[in-house]
Amino acid sequence: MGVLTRVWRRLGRSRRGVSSVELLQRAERLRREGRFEDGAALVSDALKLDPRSVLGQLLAGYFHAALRNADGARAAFRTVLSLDPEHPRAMLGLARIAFEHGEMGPAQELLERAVRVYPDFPEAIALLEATRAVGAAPPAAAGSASVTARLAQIARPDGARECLFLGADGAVVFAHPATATRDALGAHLARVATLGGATLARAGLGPLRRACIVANPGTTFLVADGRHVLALTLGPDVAAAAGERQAADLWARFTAAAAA
Amino acid sequence: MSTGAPAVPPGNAPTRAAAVRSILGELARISGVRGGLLIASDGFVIASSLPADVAVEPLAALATTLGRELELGTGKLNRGMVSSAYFVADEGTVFVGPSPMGFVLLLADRAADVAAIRGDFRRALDTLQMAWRAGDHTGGRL
Repeated sequence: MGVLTRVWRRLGRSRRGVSSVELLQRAERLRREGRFEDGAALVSDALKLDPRSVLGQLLAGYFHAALRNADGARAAFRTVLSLDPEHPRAMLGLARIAFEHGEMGPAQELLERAVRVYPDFPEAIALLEATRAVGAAPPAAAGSASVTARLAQIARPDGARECLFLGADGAVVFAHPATATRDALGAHLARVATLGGATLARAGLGPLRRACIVANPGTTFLVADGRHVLALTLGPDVAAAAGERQAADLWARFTAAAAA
Repeated sequence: MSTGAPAVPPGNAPTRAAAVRSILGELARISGVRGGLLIASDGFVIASSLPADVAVEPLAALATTLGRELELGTGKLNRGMVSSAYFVADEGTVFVGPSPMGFVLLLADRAADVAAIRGDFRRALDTLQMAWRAGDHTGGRL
């Protein structure tokens, strides 16, 4: 690299005369249009010119996250915090990734820090409330062995592929079939119920009553009341009304048996 | 969501962005739908047609986290891919589904026909995917 090139780059300009700031502005525009690959490429060019750009590293984190590259996003957000330890948006970015990985403690800590630094931060506050709700969910009732035995006696709908009855904290009270992944599935479904409830509440619609999740192997119907969650998985082509009716019937019998 | 954006700019072939916005505009016009969001997987709001009384950013943060939980949870547990989901409360329903850009969220009011919207929503998500892929093949860019 020649002396002039080195000086030019120190001024934050590429060989074509485009500054890192201009590249980042273009990348921002592409982000608003959903062109994440193209935007990420521009950010990469900008960071070659100015590796210590906080905005560049932050945008790199956003683009990695948008492209579902959690490792890349985490590295970029950490770089932002190494340059600006109080950057609330980098904390939010890291908290999201921690949440996605089920690391509720670190997620809550990062969000609390972000809100301390920047109290008027609605996204962080909303996510902090959801994170606390996941951690604060009441545990399943004690004496669950006898409850499990009672629930096992209740007939499940024809065509039921899977049935879980959970505490709001995700603890499995009853599972059929009793797969090796039932605890992980229970935790996941409880987080879905909590996040679904938080989203509804944030939209001003009230607490979660029921849900339906359509996936290619089956459709899962949830019923929830803040203390328990029922997840009933039926075939992928079941009509929503029929599935909801079967889940509601089973919920009534399960909650009655659990309370007995 | 930009409901007024033309699908075909004058003198040009339809762009991918115009096609996507047109599909989202159609969704927002379904009876009982109060509005919607197109959100990137990092929580960034690309388009919104939510009513003014709904705070967009916190709702987008939660919807994205919910979308990612659905996406990652089913993936990690080897349960296929989620194509759509809805969550019902006393005062209305939230629909969430994956899109090529991230996630789409719809808010429906209490009187909405959830089954009908579910069908329209799933068809719109399929059309979004096709529009996105068509853009790749024809060189159409956002």
